[in-house]
Amino acid sequence: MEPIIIIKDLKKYFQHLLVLDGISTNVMPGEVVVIIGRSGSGKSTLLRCLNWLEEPQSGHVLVDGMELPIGQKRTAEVKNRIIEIRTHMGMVFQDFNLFPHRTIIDNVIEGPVIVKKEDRKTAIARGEELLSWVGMIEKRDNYPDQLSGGQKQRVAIARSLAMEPKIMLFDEPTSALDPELIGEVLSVMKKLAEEGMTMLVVTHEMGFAREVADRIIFLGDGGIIEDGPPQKIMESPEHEDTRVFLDHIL
Amino acid sequence: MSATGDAQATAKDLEVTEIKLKHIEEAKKAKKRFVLWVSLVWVGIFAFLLIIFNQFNLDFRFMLKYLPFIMKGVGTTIYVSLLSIISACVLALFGALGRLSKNPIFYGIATFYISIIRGTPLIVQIFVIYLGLPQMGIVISAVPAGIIALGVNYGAYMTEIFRAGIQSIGRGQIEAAHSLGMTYAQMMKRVVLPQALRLIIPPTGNEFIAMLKDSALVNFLGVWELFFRAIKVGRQNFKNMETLIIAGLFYWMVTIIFQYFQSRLENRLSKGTRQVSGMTH
Amino acid sequence: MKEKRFFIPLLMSAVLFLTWAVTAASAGVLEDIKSKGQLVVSSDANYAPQSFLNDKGQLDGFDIDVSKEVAKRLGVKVKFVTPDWDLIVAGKWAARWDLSIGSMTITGARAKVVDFSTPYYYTPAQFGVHKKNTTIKTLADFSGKTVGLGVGTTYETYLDPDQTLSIGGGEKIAYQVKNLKKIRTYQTDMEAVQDLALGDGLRIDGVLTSGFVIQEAIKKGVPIKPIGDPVFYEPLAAASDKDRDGSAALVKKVSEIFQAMHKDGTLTKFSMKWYGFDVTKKAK
Repeated sequence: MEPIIIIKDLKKYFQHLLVLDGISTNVMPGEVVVIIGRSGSGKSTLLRCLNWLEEPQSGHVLVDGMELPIGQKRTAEVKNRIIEIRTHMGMVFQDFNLFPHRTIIDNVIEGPVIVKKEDRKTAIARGEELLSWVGMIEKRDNYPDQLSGGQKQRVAIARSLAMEPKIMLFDEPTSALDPELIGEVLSVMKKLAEEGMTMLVVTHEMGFAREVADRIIFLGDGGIIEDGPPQKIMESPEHEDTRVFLDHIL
Repeated sequence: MSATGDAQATAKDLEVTEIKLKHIEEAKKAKKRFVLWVSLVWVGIFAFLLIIFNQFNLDFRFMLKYLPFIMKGVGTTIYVSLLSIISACVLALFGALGRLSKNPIFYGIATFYISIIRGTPLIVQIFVIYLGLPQMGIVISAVPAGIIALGVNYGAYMTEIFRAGIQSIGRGQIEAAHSLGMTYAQMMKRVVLPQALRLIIPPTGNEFIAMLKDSALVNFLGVWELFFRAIKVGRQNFKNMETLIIAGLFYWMVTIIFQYFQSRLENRLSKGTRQVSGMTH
Repeated sequence: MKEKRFFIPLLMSAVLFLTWAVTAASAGVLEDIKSKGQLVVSSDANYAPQSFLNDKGQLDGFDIDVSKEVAKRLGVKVKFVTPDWDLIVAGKWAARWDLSIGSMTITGARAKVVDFSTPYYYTPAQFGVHKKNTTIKTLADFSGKTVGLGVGTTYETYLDPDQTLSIGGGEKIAYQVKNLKKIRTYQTDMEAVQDLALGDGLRIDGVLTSGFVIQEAIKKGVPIKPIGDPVFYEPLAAASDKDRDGSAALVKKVSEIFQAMHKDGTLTKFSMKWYGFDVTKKAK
């Protein structure tokens, strides 16, 4: 099987600060990869580079066979390619970023109707299905302000899934939540993993990582310090830094 | 609450409720007193003004006679102002997008536009547009020339309003739109502008109220709006003061009416239109 | 692609706006008038009884009657526009209107931007003072006084020591008023008259304006009185934008109509109606 994401020597600076110093790794279809690391280790930046929310300076990234236009001129073709890549990847943010001026169902169908020009009725039907799937169908006609954080994040997941992405990126999806609301989001994510979705998850939830992840990547100093199955990383990390970090958060 | 402690609790509750009611009652009274005093001050000042105006030896019969004729200008004034504010909004939107653009051409156009318009008097712009456009082969009559001039002028000032509105929308909203695959235009239209509008509408209402009065300047082009009608009738009868006072009163009344609508709109926007009723106090 | 959808409605409305706004100009102005069946006349509706708004709020007066008659004799309808006087006398009308019948004095300076017809009536230039004034009895008494007048009028040119007024056929006018303290200019003559009415010497001591304006003011109860004889008579004519194709032909045609109207008594009839005496003959 071909990897669905190929990352080669990816570099990203902010001003003079080197955040990603030549990251290389592959992700297979259906794989669930949890990315951990100290704050500032570049784990969010890595996800955001894949989605072109940040522009890396050098390297090669292939997403589902499409190359990120790193260092390329912004031609019409490149712009279209970025959109194409983004529609292949769903992104879930720490702060949910639901559209506050639209109802829950309108949030979910926004992408399909506006970007994919899907028929509104079809989009609503699938949107409702997705809302049921994340357990939010009762709030169909509410506005985001009327929801709890956990509920908002479940809607945000449904909104991303409505685009029928092949890959889902989760950028600290539970960090902004009250502890009692974390579970409902994680269980949705687990359900998604069980359905075979390719997932890249930046999180500190090690329980989730142990249970759901196929692989854990430990990022530090702009590079991959350790990369392996959860069992191995969590129980017998090779690197001293990994051990210190895990001791700290567990 | 358990059944056993009910009696005690109810008594205490009653006491609390009484105190609360008393407070509400007092607050209501205070508010009434305040409104009463404000009204008195208004009436007092108005009466004082009337006394002063009476010293002017105004010809009230003359004023009454020409009042209907001058009043007909109210419609034109509102119509010109409305069309102008609409053009201004369109220009302000593009001005703001240009100001926020990283493209040097768009940024340059927008900043030049704002600079030259804010740097020159409105009356100069009105004449330049009225006299200048024909030199380019575009002959427009007085009303559209006035509307263009007012729109171009207010558009430059309102660019800042639109820019602030657009910038108030958080990075997260823009990233969410992008991650769904939206283009810049889709993001602006679907995500940023509808939210920015809440911040843009109140000051735009303010601009409109200012525009109602600035529209008097197009009288020079021969547009029969409030001021034109007042000054013409005034001159012919050597009674500028009378007719200009009439025009002033009409401007004031129209302003009060639109201010009322504006404050209602502002209230609605600040409350948040989509709160379920009962959730707000 | 998406941007286009955003822009097209805007673009279309802009184009619509401009097409609504644009009035095309073509060959000769006289031919334009004939083909449209309409003569567009600019009128400065600030002065009764020559051009003003009547009780019904419609344009009325001597100029208006003359304009209607000219249109009638051209076999077309008449339409009035009311731009500011400054815009009329500056020329370059961009075909927004065809003809000025607005009691415009023929002057050398104006003749550089507009073509004049032959005069259709004459107006006396008249000094006036407040009714209560007792010190100014002759024109010589204006020495050391302040006089108000409308900006851009022939009266301003007349009193300005740096300018020489040449009117009509170019005859020079004797300067009878000397050592004025100050000239105060107003947006129109009417503001000058109203400022004088505030009180004798309060802002100004006298005005120089048309004798008709003073007459009308007295009729409407303004405390003002004329001083001395008219200092000069101005021939008033119709005017056409020099930049407009066929301008000379238009004023020639209008001149013919005026001459006919002088001859058959139409102008005198209008004059009696509005002024109560004949203003259409050149006074001596």
